[in-house]
Amino acid sequence: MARKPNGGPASDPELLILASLASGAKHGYAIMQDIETFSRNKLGPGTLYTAITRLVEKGWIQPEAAESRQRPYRITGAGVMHLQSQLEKMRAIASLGLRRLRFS
Amino acid sequence: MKGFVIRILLRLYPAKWRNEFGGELEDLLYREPLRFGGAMDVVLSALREQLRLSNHPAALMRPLALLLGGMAAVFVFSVMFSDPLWMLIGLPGAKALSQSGHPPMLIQDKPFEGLAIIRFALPLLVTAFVAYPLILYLARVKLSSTGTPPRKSLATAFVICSGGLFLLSGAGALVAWQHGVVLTLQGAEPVTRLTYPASISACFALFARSTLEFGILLQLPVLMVFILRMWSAKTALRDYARGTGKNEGLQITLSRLILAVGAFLCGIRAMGYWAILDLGGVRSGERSEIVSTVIRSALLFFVLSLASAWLQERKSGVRRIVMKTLYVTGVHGIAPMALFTLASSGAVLRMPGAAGLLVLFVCFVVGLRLSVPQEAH
Repeated sequence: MARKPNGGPASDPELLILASLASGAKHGYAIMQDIETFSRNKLGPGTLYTAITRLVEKGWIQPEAAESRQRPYRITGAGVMHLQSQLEKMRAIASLGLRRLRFS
Repeated sequence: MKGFVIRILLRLYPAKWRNEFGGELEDLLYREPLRFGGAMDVVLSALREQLRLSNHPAALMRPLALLLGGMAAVFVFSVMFSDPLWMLIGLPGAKALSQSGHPPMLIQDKPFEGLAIIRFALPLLVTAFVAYPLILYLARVKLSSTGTPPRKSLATAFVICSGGLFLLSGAGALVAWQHGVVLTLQGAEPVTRLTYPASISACFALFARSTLEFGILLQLPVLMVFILRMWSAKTALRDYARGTGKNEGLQITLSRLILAVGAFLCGIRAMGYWAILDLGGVRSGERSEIVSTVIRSALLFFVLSLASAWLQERKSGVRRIVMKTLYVTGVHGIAPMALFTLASSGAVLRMPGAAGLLVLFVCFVVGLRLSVPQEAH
């Protein structure tokens, strides 16, 4: 299991990797930089590869053949569905929470 | 330096994981500046991967079950026979108190102290001793499942040497306890370890500490050689063990015999001091005598190492003889020196002992690095 996110569900390494790969296949270093850009979360190299290992095992991402040592990973159909359901859950919780805050 | 640290970090991962993702992680680590936080992140991730059973070969599961089952059985067995086991520890303590003019009894400082020590702590100690060789066996299975044939045979040799030494030293410590605690309470002033009134837990803690440290210390040379052989250039270390010229087998046997005699003599002296000093105390007049014994032992060992190195390397030149002497002195001298140092518990050898250990370690590393055949690097 990957390390639990310290900054809430929006910093979950698995979710961040899936979100990063939603825009196309990337290798480890590119994923790390992309995540830092869009979420301001800096994943450590160990955390990144622990999360990648779990995602590959779950079948949500898969490595593509590459000549260099850095293999690009792409999100699978199951990975897209999981990401979508997680983001929708987060959106529902976020909108409910914001609504309640507005009327409190 | 960065490359060395990265290699060490990657070695922390299970081999199966390394084969799959190791190259990518290595590449990533080279691209980024390696900071302490990043290194710790890798260390923790490696630990997580090590704890996942799916990263280990299926062959490991059976020995693991054997280890856990064996430990549980030994613990239950020890609880059943805890009374006679306690007699081995408590009786010499009580006898020692009696011979030094005190009532022959160990007291209970806290409620249920006797119950906790005799029915729980003592069986745990016995279990730890029995479990150690089983843990080594587990390590052997793990190494054998991923290693090359020389590595497999090295792992087997290590398990036999280390496990055997641990059990033997534990038995030796038990014998020393039977006699040492009586002797030292009678003779040594001030008694630093076991004072009157002595509690059950104090007596047990002294026994457990002495037994475990003795068991671990004697293995230092085996551990050092094993770890270095596992991680260093294999061919270099294999060549290093060989002699030269005719009658190579006889030379090696003789040189090992010389070292065994030296290690035995120094080990016996160290064990004697351990029994006297660690269980009892140091009389002020004994300090210079102890220091001179340690120096004589170290010199004896150096001379024996030189003889052993000369037998094996006399045709390879003076430099190689000197380096091999340093290596052998370091490997085999560290355990007795550590035992001497620990035995005196800082009363006699705190600084000389620590410095001696450092010198021996440097001898070992320098001797090893400089005398292996150059072509093997």
